[in-house]
Amino acid sequence: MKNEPISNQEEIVLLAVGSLQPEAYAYGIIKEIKDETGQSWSLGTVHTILYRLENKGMLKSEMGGSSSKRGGRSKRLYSLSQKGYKVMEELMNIRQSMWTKVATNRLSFNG
Amino acid sequence: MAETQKYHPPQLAQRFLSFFCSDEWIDEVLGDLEEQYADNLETKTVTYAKLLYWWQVLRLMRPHIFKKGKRNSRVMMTKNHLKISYRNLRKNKVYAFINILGLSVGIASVMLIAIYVNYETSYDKFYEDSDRIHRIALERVYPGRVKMFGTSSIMLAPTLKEYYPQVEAVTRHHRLFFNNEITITIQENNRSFTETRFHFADSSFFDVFSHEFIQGNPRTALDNINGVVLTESTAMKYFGTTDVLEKTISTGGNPIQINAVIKDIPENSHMHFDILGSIFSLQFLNNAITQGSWINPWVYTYVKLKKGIDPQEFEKEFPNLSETYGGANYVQAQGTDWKEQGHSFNYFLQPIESIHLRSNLDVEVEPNSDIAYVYIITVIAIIILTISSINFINLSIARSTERAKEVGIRKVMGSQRSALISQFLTESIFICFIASVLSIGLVFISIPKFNEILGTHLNFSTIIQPVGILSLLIFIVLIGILSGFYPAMVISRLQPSTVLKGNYKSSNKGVWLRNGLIVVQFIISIFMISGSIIVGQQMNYLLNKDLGFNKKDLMVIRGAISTGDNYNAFYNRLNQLSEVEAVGKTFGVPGDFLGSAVFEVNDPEIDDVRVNSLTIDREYVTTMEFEIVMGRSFDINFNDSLNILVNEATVEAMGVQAPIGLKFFGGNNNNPNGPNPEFTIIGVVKDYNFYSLHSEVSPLVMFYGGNNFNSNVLAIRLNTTNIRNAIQNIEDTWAEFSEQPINYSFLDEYLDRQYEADRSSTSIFDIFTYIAIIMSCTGLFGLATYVVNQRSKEMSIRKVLGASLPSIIAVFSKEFLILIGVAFAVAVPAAYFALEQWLSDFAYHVSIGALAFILAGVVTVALVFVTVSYQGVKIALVNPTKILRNE
Repeated sequence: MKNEPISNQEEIVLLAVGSLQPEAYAYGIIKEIKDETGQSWSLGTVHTILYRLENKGMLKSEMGGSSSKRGGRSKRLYSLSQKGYKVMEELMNIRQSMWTKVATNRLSFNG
Repeated sequence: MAETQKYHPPQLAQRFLSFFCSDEWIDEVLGDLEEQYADNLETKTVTYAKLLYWWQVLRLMRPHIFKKGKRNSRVMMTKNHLKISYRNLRKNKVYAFINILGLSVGIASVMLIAIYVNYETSYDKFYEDSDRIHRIALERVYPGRVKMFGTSSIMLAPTLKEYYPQVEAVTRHHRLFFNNEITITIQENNRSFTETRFHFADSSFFDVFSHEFIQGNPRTALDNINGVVLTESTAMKYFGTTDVLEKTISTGGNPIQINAVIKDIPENSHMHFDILGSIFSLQFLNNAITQGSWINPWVYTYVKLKKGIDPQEFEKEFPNLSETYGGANYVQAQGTDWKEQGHSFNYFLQPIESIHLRSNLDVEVEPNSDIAYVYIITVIAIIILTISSINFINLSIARSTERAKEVGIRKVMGSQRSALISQFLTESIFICFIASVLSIGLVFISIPKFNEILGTHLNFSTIIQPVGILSLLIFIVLIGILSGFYPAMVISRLQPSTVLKGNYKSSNKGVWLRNGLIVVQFIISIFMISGSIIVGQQMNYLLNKDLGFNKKDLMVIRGAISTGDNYNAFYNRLNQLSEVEAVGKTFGVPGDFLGSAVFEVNDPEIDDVRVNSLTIDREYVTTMEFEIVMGRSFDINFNDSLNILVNEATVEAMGVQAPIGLKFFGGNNNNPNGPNPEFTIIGVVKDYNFYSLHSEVSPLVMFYGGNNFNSNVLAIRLNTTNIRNAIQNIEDTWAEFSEQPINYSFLDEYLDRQYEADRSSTSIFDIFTYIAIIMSCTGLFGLATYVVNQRSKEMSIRKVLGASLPSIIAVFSKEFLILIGVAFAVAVPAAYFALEQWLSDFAYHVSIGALAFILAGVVTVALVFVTVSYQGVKIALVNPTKILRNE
């Protein structure tokens, strides 16, 4: 299967969705990213990325799961599609194999 | 949870969100936001959480979230509009250049003028409670005339303080009116300085005026007679530090102690001093206080009213006050019938905030500006802006021919008219925006020059404040809409079917508007050109008019009495210098302030005369090259000690033919018990202008100073071309006899300074005239382009039929000449009245000749001819086949 290029931001969002599933919704993803990377992403950024990924067919979404903290409003819950999972897997494989090379390359850093 | 419920997320932000967010997304987005808000509340303040909420909402403005619909598709089109605007500007660089440059000059002028007006109206507002501080000024009515003083009686302040509970604080302030040069010596580092801004005040001065103290205590700063307050820069000048408390300096041998140092007084104050002493250190003011003098207006009285006191109500107390407390003194000075004689003393309040722009009394602290300048310059700003907007409109319409096909295609593709209007508005706002950015740069560059010309201290940072930026943005949009609206209407009205067939021709409907706008521009140009010609003539006249004396090569030394016992030796040595032709002793040279007195004349037929007075020696008359028109000058062969010279104005005031031999007496009217000598007129001097040409020559009496007359001022006539050498020799001579630094000036330069305010206002006028003319020309250029394009086929046919180039251009120009004619008929009378108004401020002025108007007309016609020819020649030289082949 052809590699569909995705950005670093998109990758992180995909990873977040995968780890939070089935409770992956926009604000939850923001919190997850904050916890893992320390970066604060705005809601607009995350929404745009989720929208884009869904258009690319890597994510699926459905409404559900409200709480009183949200003023009773429902969430859009995202989950990985098969394609999404495959893209991630492929990315990981590429990275894994390249890392092995880096690790065996005995680099030295002298400034 | 109950706690978070208390703080709702900002509702306005929610409403804003639901305004642009599509229904598909709104629910979950609001939910996410609210959850985040609740989390934020746990760790952050409410305000901060709300700000974050707003920030998130703004970040949510993304295309996929927007509502789908007509309105929003238009938002999406904005990007396309901007792109098209940019491409259009690039396609036609000349047009873009003229348009943007014209607009940015217009906007820059307006910004500059806005900063100026803002500065001028900010005077004295930095004092705490400045709205409650007033100066008490005096309308002094003498029999038969009125004089307005900024000053008031020395007794007024104590009276107010004692008897009027409405007053919170009151202070007296004095500047030396005649010789204001005081030499300060600093023993510590053995330096000396000449100060001209040494003022004096009561110890309550700082209760009225809130100055910021760097050292010392405002309450006690002026408590002792020999204590002074320095400003920061004065302290730095004397000692290089502001840590100068209790240090001693001296003036004329008397030690004075520095009690306090204050921050420098901001430029936008009507009163500046470098050093402030106690009012009681001046002997003549002490005497006036002892005498309880209500007659002499020698001090400024500033009063701070209590909160809630209506100044107008308070003012009503003054007539009563003046009579109750000053009455006895008025009787003593003018006799019991002073009121019947026609004397009166009317005090009134001036809010200090208004002094700079609205007060133009005698004896102001410093020369003030005039609200008229502010008005004039505001009008000029509006004019320039109008011209640049008119240009913009004309150029846009002129270019509509080229845009017609684009509009046709857009309409065919389904664009609505409103969408086209918004496109062209976007375009004009876009151009305005570029122009504004440019104009900020222009303002930044031109502010120093502007300050130099006007002597103001404007600051670029005024624009960078939020208010400035906001008003600039509003301004951009407003100008964009105003000047873009009409062209947008015209262009969007085009019918695609006709336009796309290729025979676009604009309707004749807009012709009147366009011609009207052009006429307005011509009116402004002709007005401005003729105005600047006449203003220039007047300034030239002022600087070159025969003043009745020779102002060239005349050096004036002030402070000559500081030579003390060496005075005569110095005077004699001066006379021996080869560069010196003559030396005259005098109380004051032309331009100096003169005292005045009322004299009775020994002829019962002749009324009392009020004259300015001056004491001189024999040589002064020859030094100044006064012309004696009757009788003789002071002469060494006579005893002239009780003889006087008068000027022609005095003779005229007395209404006699033979003034020689008449006697003046009773001049010492402030002290009826003093000696009252009689003075005999021995000669009449031709009128000379002892004040500026703003005022007419008034009566003047010159007394003879006597043999031991040691005047403070020496007028020296030089007879050399090597001025520098002469100065050197005189300086050397001075140094032999005096320890003070020499203080000299040249009379012509000194007199020119009288017109500094006029010059700066005229140079501003000139600059903006040039701008207005240049912008009118660019507008004309745009219009010529349009007309020529419209009539290109006609021109080509004429050419084919054998018309010559000049005759083609003549056809073009004719239309404009009619417009100029109309404009001329309107502009000339308007300019005539405006200029007459301006000239009437000068007692001596040029008359308004036809030349200025003719010249203005010729210049305008020439400009029109050049611009129109340029366009005309361009078309006329094109091969007719190129233009006509469409038919």
